[in-house]
Amino acid sequence: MIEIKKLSFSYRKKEKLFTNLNLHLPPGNIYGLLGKNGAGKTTLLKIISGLLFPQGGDCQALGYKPSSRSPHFLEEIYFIPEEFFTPAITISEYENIYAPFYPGFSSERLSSYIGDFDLPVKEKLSSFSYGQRKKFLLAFGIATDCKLLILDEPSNGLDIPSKSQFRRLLASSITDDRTFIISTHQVRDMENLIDPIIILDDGEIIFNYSAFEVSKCLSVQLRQESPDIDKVLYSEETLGGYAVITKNTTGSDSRIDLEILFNAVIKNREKIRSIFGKGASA
Amino acid sequence: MKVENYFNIRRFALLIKNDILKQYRTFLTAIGAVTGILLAIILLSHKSSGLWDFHHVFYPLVLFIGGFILSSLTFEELHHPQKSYVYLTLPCSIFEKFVSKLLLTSIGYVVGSAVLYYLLSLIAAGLNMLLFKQTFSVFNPFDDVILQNIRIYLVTQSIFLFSAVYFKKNNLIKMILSLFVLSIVCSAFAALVLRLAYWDYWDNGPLIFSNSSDIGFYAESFFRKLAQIFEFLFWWIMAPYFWILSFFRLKETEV
Repeated sequence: MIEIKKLSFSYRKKEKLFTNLNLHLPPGNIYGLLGKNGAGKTTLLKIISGLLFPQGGDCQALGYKPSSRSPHFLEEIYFIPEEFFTPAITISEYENIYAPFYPGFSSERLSSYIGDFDLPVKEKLSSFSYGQRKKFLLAFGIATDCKLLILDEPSNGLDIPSKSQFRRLLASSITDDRTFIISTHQVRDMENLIDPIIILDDGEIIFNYSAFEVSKCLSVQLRQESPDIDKVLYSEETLGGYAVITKNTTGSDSRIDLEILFNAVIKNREKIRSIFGKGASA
Repeated sequence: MKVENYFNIRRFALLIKNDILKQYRTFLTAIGAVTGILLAIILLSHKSSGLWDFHHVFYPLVLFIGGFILSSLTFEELHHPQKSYVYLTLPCSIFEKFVSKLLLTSIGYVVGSAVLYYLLSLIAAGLNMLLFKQTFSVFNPFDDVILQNIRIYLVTQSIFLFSAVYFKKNNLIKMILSLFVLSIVCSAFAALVLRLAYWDYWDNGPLIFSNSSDIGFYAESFFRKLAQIFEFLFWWIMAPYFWILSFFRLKETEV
């Protein structure tokens, strides 16, 4: 589905953002792309969607080179950036203008999602709040039936009920031939949705594992006392004690807090990698 | 290499419809403003209407000024941080996106402006007759002078279309400034070449022939050939050159 090999990219007058980035994303998953500010998450999403061109290496998505911007490729992707524009037209006018470009678009599905999100159908999109406009674009994007849906910080600006509706909508829309990529800092909003988890840091993918692999390999415990740092993979102080990540030696499934996992991977990348070993995906 | 990847008539028709629908409010406002101004001018100048050919002056103004502004703004969404991703990920080929903008700002604008101007001249003729008991000529788009202006517009518009893709902000001003600087540089270069090539035929100052009969033959044939070359370049090379430049610039545009 998405195959990136030895990708290099830099913005003008800046250091190289990516020098040798490799990524393989099979279809059928909702990927969570995590990383610190400036790690290059949005840039990577833009390269995958053909909005930026790689300066070296190869990027293939859905069997196309995104930089060629083939119409057949563009019919199969939908990208919702963090900052977006919606014209001063109503939902039905927007549908009339843009929907015919997407062969798989379903008007019924859009109406159903619009109803779920409780969006005002007769008002102009420009009069919607930021959250409402985002919900509309999410609904439209999913209604296109595109094979690759790319969302940059989708939960920003959504109210609490909308976040659950959004998670439900995405979870019910994923199929074996579709791929959703979500870049986010709001890991708690996406915790039960994203799988596998991809972490981007220092211009490379340092973590790309499924929740199953993570729970098989790592274990998170809450301890009252400060652990011996040499005997654990990572620990951080939390309310009422210490959250500690250790190697899962029992083989039992362990629920991993994404925020703690992210901090552990960023701060202790080599130790974590060694646990996952050669057979793992990253 | 499938043609379908570059051009599909259904997609292209949708894109043209999309480009028009997105802009129609701006078009209507501009048409309303221009119509109002022209009607006011026609009615205010009714006493002198027989002294000059109104349409030979005002239609070229509408054609060139309106057309250059429209062409300069046609790729506005490409340079807008939040609109550019919508435009670039819209499922159409770059060729279709370019040709749609080209057609709308060239032939589309010419036909649209001529039809609207014709209707305006009919209204103006009616009003003149009604209010002042005067006749007012109806606009004839197939008049030789008008057709020549249209030909010139179709060629020169390509420069402003290129500026729309190339410059991110203030495209029209930047293009006019660039053309102004370019014309000064070309004039200076031409004067220098002439000065060097016809050194013997100048006396104390530049561009003053001491003996026009000596230089007459060489200069005349040289300038005639030069004029023919420039004429050829203007009518046949300039527009395709800027179209190709614009297309590749559009193809290489990133967000």
